[in-house]
Amino acid sequence: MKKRVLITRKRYIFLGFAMVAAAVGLLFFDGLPDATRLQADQLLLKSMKKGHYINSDQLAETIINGDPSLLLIDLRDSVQYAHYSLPNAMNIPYQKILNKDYVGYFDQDQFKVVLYSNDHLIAEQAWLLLTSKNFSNLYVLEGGLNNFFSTIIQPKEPLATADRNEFERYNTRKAAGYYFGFPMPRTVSSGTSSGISETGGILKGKKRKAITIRKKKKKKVGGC
Amino acid sequence: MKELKQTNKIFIAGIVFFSLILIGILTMKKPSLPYQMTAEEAIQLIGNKDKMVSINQLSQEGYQLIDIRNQFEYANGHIDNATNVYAADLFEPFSIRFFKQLKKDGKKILLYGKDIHEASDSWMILSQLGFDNIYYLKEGYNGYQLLQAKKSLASLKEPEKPTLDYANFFVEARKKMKNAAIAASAPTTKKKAFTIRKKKKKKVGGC
Repeated sequence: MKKRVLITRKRYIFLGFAMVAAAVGLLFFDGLPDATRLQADQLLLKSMKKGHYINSDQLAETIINGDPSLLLIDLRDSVQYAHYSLPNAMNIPYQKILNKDYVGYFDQDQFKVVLYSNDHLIAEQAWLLLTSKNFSNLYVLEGGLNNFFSTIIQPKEPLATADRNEFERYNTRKAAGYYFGFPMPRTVSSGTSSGISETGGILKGKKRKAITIRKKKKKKVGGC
Repeated sequence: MKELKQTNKIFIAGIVFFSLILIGILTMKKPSLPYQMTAEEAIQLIGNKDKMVSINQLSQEGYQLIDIRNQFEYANGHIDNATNVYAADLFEPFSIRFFKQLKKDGKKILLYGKDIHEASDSWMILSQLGFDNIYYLKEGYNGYQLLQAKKSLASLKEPEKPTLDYANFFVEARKKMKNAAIAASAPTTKKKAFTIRKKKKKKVGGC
């Protein structure tokens, strides 16, 4: 009887030990490297759909409307960021995106995160890496800051023969450009400025030309 | 006897437990194309200029050119000696076999799309899959077309280079506007002396 009890106790110990060993084994078995990442073919398909691009018009509108869920992230280095960046943008140089201090900004689903750099090459590659880690709600500013400047801050005037919509878009962009700090002619001087008459508000500062009205002389009408 | 029954139950439970773990491990989904790099290691690929090949270097080294645009674009014109593998087909078994063969032969693979952006994603994913012999074309097919037409490549932008001096842009713009305003307002300050000619009265009269 005593012997049997001993064996059963030993069985307990053996089972317990085996389970602990298995648990420790599982701890060290992390499978394949990065098994949790999005698979290569799915990742490429996602990038080819281009659903993650946001163009400068959309971004300008979102910023001006003050969307509280927008989070702008400047991926350039801190020197370039100090020179100029979009309003309220955060600087996370692309080398640091997976640092534990910063990864929390990408690994969330409350903010709409817009990544940008000068062009969209670095932003796109950073997006690809972050998306492969299954982070969502990430967007890329198409064309980057370069394109943002050439469309919003310095928009090209459409041709005189252009569509009416194009003129409207030009006016919207021009107005957005003033929001982003392009100097308004009115604030610079009170002098006249030609070519900016397209935007309604600017006309106020224009000096009026004194027009002298010539009086028409009355023609004497007579005769038969 | 009672104790023996209990131990049997525990023993069976233990066996079930282990077999569950075993089944779990054996049926684990293995990705067909596992990444050979962790995401942290892959950061060094971002903006890596060593893997960008300029179109002028094209003839110097023996690259195997891969055109990743779709077949219609490829049929419309492509770089000489390029093979067409559409980006969506890059991970099909036949293209992976092709890439592996090229790697075995020690050849360099050069991907290109219409511009650098089209090729960059494919390049970055393939590099993470362990193909370290893959490069991508900086100017893309657009650059090749310009070269063929003997035009300069100056119209193509250098990737990630700021087109403007953002630091001084607004200051400059303000200055420029001020100058323009002064220039525009200058002539209007002078009043022109109009000499009004009096019209001579026409004599209107009878017939």
